[in-house]
Amino acid sequence: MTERDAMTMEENTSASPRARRILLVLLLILLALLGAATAFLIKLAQPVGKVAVGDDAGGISWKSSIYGYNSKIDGQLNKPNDLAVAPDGTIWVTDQSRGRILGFGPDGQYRRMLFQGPTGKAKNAFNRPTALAVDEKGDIFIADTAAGEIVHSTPDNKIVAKLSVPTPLDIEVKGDRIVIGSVAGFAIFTKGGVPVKVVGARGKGPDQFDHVAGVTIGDDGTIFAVDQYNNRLSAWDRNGNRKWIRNIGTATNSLEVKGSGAMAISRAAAAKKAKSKGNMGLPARVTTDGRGRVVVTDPFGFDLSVFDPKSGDLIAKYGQFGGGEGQFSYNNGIDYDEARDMFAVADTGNSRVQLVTIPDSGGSATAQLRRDLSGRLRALIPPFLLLVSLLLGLPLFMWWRRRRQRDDEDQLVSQPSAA
Amino acid sequence: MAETLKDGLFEESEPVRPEDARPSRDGRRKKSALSDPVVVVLLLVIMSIVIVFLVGLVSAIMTGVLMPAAPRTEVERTIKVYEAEIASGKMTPQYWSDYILTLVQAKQYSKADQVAVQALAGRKRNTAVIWTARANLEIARGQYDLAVKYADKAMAEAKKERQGEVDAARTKANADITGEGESMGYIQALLLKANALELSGADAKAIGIYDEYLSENPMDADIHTRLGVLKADAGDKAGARKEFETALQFVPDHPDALEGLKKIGGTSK
Repeated sequence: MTERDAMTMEENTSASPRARRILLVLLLILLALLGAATAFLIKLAQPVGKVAVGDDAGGISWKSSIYGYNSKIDGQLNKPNDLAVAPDGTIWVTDQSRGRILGFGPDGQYRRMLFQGPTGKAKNAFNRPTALAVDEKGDIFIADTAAGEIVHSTPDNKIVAKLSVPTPLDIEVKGDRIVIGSVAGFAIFTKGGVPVKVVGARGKGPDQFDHVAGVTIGDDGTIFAVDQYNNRLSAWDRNGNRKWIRNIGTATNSLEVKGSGAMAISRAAAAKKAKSKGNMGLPARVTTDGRGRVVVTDPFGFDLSVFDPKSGDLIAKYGQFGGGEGQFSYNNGIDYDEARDMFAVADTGNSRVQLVTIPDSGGSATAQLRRDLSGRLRALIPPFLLLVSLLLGLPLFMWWRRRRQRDDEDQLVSQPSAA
Repeated sequence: MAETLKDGLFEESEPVRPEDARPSRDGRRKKSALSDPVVVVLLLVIMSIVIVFLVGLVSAIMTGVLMPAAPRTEVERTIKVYEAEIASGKMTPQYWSDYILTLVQAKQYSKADQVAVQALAGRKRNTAVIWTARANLEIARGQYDLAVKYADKAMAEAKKERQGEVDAARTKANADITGEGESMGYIQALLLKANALELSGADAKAIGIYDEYLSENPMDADIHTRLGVLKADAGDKAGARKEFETALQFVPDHPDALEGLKKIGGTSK
């Protein structure tokens, strides 16, 4: 045994067993206290209220809801009817009764508000923002139905351009295409505003439309149009040539009131009936998911219908009527957040936006992780990073300390021989 | 002789034997606990745990996970909106009632009780809805006798309010107004009382109230169904069948009536 080893051994055996015991007990008490505190905080962080699951939610998985940006009444959303998800994750929502557009993060945190006007500060400057779209740069396109115009705005409220369009009902922007749905059909423009084609005329015939309330563009450039009152879904190529057309329910412009004294049935029973036949009650907005499937909202069926993009065949329906989280009441606008594999749905009747997922939407594992980290888990990112740093740093520190002690020992042992 | 450094000056000292030497910078013997690496590690672990916990807590607050600025659910929104309304003094009896019922839904019973007391403080009129909400609270708490008492109070207040409305209408316009029929507030409190009696096991009393209600409101399929369930539980299958079939006359696919009929071995016509 070397002199150094002997000194170290003696040092260790004569070190503080009492101090070790005290610290161990302290550590255990601390772990118990912090464990209890953590359990309490986790419970505190749970949102208060019923979350619908399973059949109560009709297969929808609820992630979170957005009600507004503060607790005051004018800070709450009031019957939002459309929304669009930007590439940076911002969810832009129409608050049409107040003539404004609000931006929220995927974590539900409020980011900013949009008004129209040269200074960007005019109140109620949008007449009635009905529909929204966002392009790859994050610029926002607003269809103002009452004003009969499309407004192109940057995220920091600078107006880029305006386009007069009669009764625009919906808008989509992707790649070099802008598609605008209107009462009698839809119009295709290039990004530069050059018209490509105007499709349709008002009516009930196969080449006619009655309120194109929803338009979207798939990743391959296919344009999908929802003909609301004819209750039809159709697919078109980027130049406006039709690929297919499907009836997806009973046309509401064909309904007749028959007889009198009809028996009342509950709203839930009516929705259940509509679901059982695969009918849509009143198709509204449309988007595509990670698999390219076409997802259409049904405010009267209180659900989302999923269709095959190649054939228009109905694949599944998800959703239930109600006010609980995960349920819908006159759900309207919808957009798919590809980065997080989740849908933002404007739950108009409940005056909120819901972030939900449906099965088999085709999201990657990274997207699912991003989605989880935009939820309550986001609070754990800084402490996790700190913990990793400490775990890496502790062995380094102990090694440095040991090395310094050995240097000290060497110095002292060599001093007597130097003397 | 060995030399040691003291206050910057060398002085002579006894030679240090190797077996006596201790590792130190200043030549003094070091027996502090901090020389024990296990103690150092434990201290560092304790400090690290505390720091990580505090960072997590601050992060949860900054990211809005704890203490969010905006409501995250319908219940939270309703609660926050009503708290703002109370602060601005804009509460009406119906708002108080809705607030209490929302707190009941959120299982915040103590707060609901406090709010009910606050709502009734100093208020002499239009209290029927608040008493009804209070009865709902007691049902949620399982205090059925109290629920019946508050439901009775709500019914008495509703009658007074109704009489007040009729008297006011007579003096204003039509002296012939008779004010027949009970108000919605009275009916709600009556049915709540029946529900509380049912839950407390007083089925016979509950049946009596439902019969009284249906004599004035014969087309209520839900109450016919409730009565059918109670009669079936009491062994009166014929009575139960009659109630379920009556319910189905008004709502042909009433799910609870169909199920009740199936349970007693009947089928819908």
